[in-house]
Amino acid sequence: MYVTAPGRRSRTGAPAGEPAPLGLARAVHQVFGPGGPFGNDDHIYYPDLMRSYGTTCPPGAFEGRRNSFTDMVTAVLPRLRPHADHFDLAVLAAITPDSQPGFPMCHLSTLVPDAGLAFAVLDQGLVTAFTALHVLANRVRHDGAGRLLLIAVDQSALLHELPVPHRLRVERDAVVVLAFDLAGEGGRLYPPRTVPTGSRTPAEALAEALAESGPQVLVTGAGLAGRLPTVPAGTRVLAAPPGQPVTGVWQVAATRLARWQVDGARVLIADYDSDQERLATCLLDVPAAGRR
Amino acid sequence: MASIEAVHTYLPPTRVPVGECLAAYGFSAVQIRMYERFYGFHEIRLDPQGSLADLLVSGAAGMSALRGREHLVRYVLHARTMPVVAPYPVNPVREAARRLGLAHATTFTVSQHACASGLLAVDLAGTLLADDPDPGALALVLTGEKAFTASAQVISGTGVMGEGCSAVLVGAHGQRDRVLSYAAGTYGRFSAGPWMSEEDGAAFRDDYPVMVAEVVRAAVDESGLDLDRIVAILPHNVNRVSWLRVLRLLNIRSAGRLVLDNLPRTGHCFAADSFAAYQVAREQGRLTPGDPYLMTSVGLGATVSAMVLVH
Repeated sequence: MYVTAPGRRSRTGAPAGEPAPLGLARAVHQVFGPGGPFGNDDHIYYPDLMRSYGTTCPPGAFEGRRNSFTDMVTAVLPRLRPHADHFDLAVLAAITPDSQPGFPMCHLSTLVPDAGLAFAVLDQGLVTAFTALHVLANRVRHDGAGRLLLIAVDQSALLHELPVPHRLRVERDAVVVLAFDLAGEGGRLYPPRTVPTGSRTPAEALAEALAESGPQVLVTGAGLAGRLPTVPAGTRVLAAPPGQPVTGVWQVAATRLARWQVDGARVLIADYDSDQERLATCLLDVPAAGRR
Repeated sequence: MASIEAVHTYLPPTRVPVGECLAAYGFSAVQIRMYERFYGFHEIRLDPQGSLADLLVSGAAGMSALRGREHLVRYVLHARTMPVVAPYPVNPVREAARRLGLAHATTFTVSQHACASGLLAVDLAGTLLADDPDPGALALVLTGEKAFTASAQVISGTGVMGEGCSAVLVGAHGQRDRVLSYAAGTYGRFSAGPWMSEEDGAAFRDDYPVMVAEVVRAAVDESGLDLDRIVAILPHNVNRVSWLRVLRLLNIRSAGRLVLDNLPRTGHCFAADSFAAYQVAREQGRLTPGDPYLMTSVGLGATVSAMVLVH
């Protein structure tokens, strides 16, 4: 059970009240195949939902297959053991709805021992996962929470025929989990910054972030496609795979992490949400082997 | 930690007898009588023409404490019960924030605690605001949803859902209605929520009072207070009988501290009940300055939460 009060510290004993980066322990990702069939309840829930918005589920919508959030979390979590065990806080970040109306974060408590507080942060467009990380960093400061999980998911089943902007389209079901702990031997992830671009273009705002942080690697999400500034010489740009609006940038980080851990890397992860005109950036410092 | 600056509850004007609502979902006359006489439900409010965004806007638009302070709002949080509420990428909470003049605020949904998400959102808002350099910074928590399908309208053996919105203005340094503690326990065996098997559903109903009592005790213990000092319990509106079982487990002999006045007239309004009950308690003079009180809620899934505040 999660219990808190002003000034309380978590059971991990982490120091409270000190702004600090999140210690990355492990990062895993998984892209899924077709998945399983829809359930009987889905045939009621989704048509009722679409009807309430004046639309319908297209014919044959439920004849396809899907990976629900619960399916994806259940599949990937064993690969995180023991880093997922005894977590203080787990936050799921998504912009697409689940393809099975359910409670995957409640299900977590059946998958790992001694699960802490788990919930979801949704509906913030391409910067949703950054906001979820902000929530995690905030808890570290205030509760001294030590063992944390960010679970980013993309889900491709679309049960209507309304238009979806290209940058928000999901092409495959995918999950990325970042596990954080106090040791943080995998690197240090600094609390993200999500700022309105205001009168600046996204490229100008990103150029400022690049000048400030001086990364060797820039990982860019779907919202920055075609919006990049001139990148300083020596900074390598890695674009997130298309069709993964939330998981894409974190999948790049999870995939490259092992290599970065050999040579060391300063990585700026960034995305832009044009609906809110907000640029989100997050700095990951990975020390080289032997310097950890 | 969080403090509640203001609460405003909006209820749509259309009143629907619960019998009519339950009959539409195939409940028998005997079952309907059970919901009315035994569980205590009478009518609910619905807005058949209004959208979720309309509902959320109506909740906050009537909040006088928000007017002129929109620029101080850093976060708008929709505390959500139902797992999916809109066709992707329709975003009701962002639409609501824009219509309320709060497009500048960081706006997102907090979910997975179902009807217990409201207390989670208040706690989360408080800790986020504590990092803001402006002590006057605020967060707006919006609760309430549309009863658009069977699983969003009726919880078997538990309650009938109505539409309504409680808007909650949260600060980090207020002197009134300060949060003293917050506890949340998730009982993952029941994570299928309204789609549980019959067997798990029966076990959930059996275990329910024990789970609620356990989390309430944890929150009260953490607050440093004795349960006897809690002057009011502001609960979620589920059947009255289940509350009597919880009170027995907590050794509370009288139901007088339980503010269930809204249950017969609004039904269970998703995550809004505790906040709507707060307004009732204020209007009835059941809270005086310095009084400790308890908000509690249970979300299908199953997460139980409790929050101790001091008025």
